[in-house]
Amino acid sequence: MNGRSGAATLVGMLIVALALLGGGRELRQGIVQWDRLGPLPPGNATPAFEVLTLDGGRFANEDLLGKVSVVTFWATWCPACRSELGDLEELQHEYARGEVQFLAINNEGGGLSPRQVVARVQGFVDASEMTLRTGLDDGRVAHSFRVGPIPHTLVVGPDGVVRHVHQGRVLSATLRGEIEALLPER
Amino acid sequence: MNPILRALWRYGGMLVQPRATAHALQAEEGRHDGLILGTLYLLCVGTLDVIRGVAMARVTADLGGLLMLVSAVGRVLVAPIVVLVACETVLGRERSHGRGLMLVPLLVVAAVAHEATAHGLLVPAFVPEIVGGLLGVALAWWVRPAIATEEAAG
Repeated sequence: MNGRSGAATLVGMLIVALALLGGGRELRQGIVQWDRLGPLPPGNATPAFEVLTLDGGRFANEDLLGKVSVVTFWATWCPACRSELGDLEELQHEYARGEVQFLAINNEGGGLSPRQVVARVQGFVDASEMTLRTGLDDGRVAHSFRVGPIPHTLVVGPDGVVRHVHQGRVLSATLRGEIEALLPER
Repeated sequence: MNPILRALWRYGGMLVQPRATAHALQAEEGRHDGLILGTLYLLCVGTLDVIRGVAMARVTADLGGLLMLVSAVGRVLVAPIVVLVACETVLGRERSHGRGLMLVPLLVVAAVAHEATAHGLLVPAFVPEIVGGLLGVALAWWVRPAIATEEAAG
């Protein structure tokens, strides 16, 4: 092995060591933060939160008590969210007697001002004739629920405990099954 | 030379003496370099994303969670895959067996940027991938004449 060849091997070792060092650091970080990396898991009480709703009211975690609740995090720019909102709308009509409540929490992001968010969401709601109760979040509620990709949908029991969590588009049949399992025998 | 030392020589050689290293490659040598360097890249910059994907899949325990995990891995691997395709285009079909080594600059730039970020330096998003990818393509263009064609090597 001549000098240049030896230098090349040494540089190769440094490259691999640097890559493994970075990987090791991320692995350690992942292990330390493991419990906080995923979304809020089933079995946990919903965190304390309060959102302004599009109709001018407020919705807080106490309002989840006593009913089965379906809470979804969405944005107008998210096609899967828009598709899922249509399913939730239908489910809301199915459970029109009020035993199940639905809350669609918008987290528009994108650095918009609150006024711009309201205008955009109101425009979407009007255009799609959406009747779901819509909350407006500046990101803090999504953060407390550890929401990653959207749509992010939770089924919450009447006791305020998260029972099911879905990331990405969830089928209405799945949600229906989960809701039915939480409702008292009819 | 021991195969591991030989692989380290290839990776380092791409930075120290690229043309000489490419010229000294034997037939069939380094066929899996793309896979090895791609895996090192994934380990270096994507371990936390993959762990996060696993954490999501564990909580949701459904197809959506699994898709999120696959998407986390896919997002990390986009850069090396794009660089490999670009380098293969530059090298041409007859020299494409050397494309895997062109991931070395991407791996080095990404690893250094990762270390810099870990030590509090602000590295703009996607800049390491763009810089590393461009260096990889430039390296492919530079060493192209030194890589034996498959016909000549075989």
